[in-house]
Amino acid sequence: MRLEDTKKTFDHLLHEMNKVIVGMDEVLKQMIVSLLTNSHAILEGYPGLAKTLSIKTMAQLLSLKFSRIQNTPDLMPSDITGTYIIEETTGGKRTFKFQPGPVFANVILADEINRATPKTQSALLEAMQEKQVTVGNSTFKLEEPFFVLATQNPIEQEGTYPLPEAQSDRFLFKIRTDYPTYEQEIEIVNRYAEEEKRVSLKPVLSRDELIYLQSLTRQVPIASDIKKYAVSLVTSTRQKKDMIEYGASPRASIGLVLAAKGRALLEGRKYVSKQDINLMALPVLRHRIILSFEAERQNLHEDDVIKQLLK
Amino acid sequence: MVTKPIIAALKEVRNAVMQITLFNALLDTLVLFLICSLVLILTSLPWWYALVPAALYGGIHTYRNVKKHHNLAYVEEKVPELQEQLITVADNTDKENVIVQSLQQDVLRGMRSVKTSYFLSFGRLARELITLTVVSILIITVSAHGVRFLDFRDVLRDLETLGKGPGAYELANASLEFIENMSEDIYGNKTIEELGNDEIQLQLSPVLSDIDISKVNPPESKEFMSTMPKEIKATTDVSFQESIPKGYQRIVKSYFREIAKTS
Repeated sequence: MRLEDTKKTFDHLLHEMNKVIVGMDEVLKQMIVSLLTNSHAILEGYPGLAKTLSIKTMAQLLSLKFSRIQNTPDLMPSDITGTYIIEETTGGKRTFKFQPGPVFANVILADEINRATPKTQSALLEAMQEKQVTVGNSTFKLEEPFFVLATQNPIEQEGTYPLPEAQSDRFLFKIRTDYPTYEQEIEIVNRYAEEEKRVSLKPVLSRDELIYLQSLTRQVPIASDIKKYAVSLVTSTRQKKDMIEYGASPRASIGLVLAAKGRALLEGRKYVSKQDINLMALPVLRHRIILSFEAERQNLHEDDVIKQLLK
Repeated sequence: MVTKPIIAALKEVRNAVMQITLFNALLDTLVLFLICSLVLILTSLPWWYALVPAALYGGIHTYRNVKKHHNLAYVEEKVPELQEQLITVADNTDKENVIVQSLQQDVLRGMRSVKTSYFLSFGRLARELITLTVVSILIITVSAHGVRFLDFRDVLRDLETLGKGPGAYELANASLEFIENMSEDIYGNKTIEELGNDEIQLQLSPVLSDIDISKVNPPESKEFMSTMPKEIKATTDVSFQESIPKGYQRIVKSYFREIAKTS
């Protein structure tokens, strides 16, 4: 793939996704940026907002191994990582053989991740951070690229286990899905409530092409001033004590600059713009800050406070 | 390898901006200098006094302008096509990869379209040149016809007088001045000079200097010894006996005669 063709590839990818998904351009772009930066993303939104569908659609467009983990309170860590099973040979000899779990794939859809118990959630932790899985005494390397695209529902309180800060920090993005506009909803109804049309999706990106794009993302140059602006933004979350109790970590600075690079490449630019930082600040920072009592008393959300910082 | 051309191009842009900035600052300073000169001429003050405000303004104005304009953000502001790209390229000249090289080529291509005129404000330049011409003509006219609105030195002198007020005691400055006098007639023997030339502050005690008339004695007659020589004789000077050529003897003779007459 030539450098000049990257923009066309992304446009084609988005075009194919839009055949299935209606009016979620920004969400889809953030998901692609997550892929480009070789990072994980969590999609949060109310039920019925096509979170799972958009991840499944993306997985279909990539020639990668896809697996889905439907999180429930009775899900065990070994259901994710895999386990040793006894295998009997033809000679009657029994041996332990490792049976890989769904985590051994390139794209993992961890659906309703906050419904899994903390023990099961943390089974994903090593896989997400180290890109490896340890079962018993053996450690298994996961195949590159490896993404976890999780979904969670913000209104379910009963029987849910909110992700601990350490684990939510592993996700580069917390992507918020919102309700569609009236016109978009009409289009959704037209597509899915009338005659059933099967949309055939063909892979747009191969594994090698994706790895190449990931390497290109890291090569996108950034001006020192813009880099300083990104870091200042992250550090300001630690200084705004009246609104934020706990600010974002340096991992957020790395993530913000990397995400901005991915966004620039997605837009077909060869440099990072200040606008890229501003666009990526919300999904990168919103799950990394804990609001103060004062902010909650004023009924402010994470996004409101980040927007204040951006001003 | 495109890194070297981009470094050279960035240097060239910086130099061009610097030259234009200095030119603009010089022009601004010149306008100020001429206006100040005109004002000084009209107030009968030396025109070269205008060098002081002009030098001060020139120094500060140039420093501020160079500080403000000698960066690539200024170039990007003037050339929107290179927005955010120029600084990114300048900050990443040490990196070499596909994207950086491609960006460098884009920037080099974009820089070809950059013209010096982007950094010149023609409206302002025209206004300044017109001002320079008008003020120069005024200076020549005023100087040629000796036009003066007021004599600033007179005004200062008047103000000085006014400042003293009507009841102030005017002490003659001359009486307070120390004057070194070389005449022996007044101060007597030269050995007095051993005291040096420093000003001596003397205070006369009125008690000691008062004259008591009762103690004044009548004048005393003094007798002086005569010291006249017994014999007086005159001799000719050596120069008189010199061998003077005949042609000049008459001239010399008449010269001495004339001297004798005047004495």
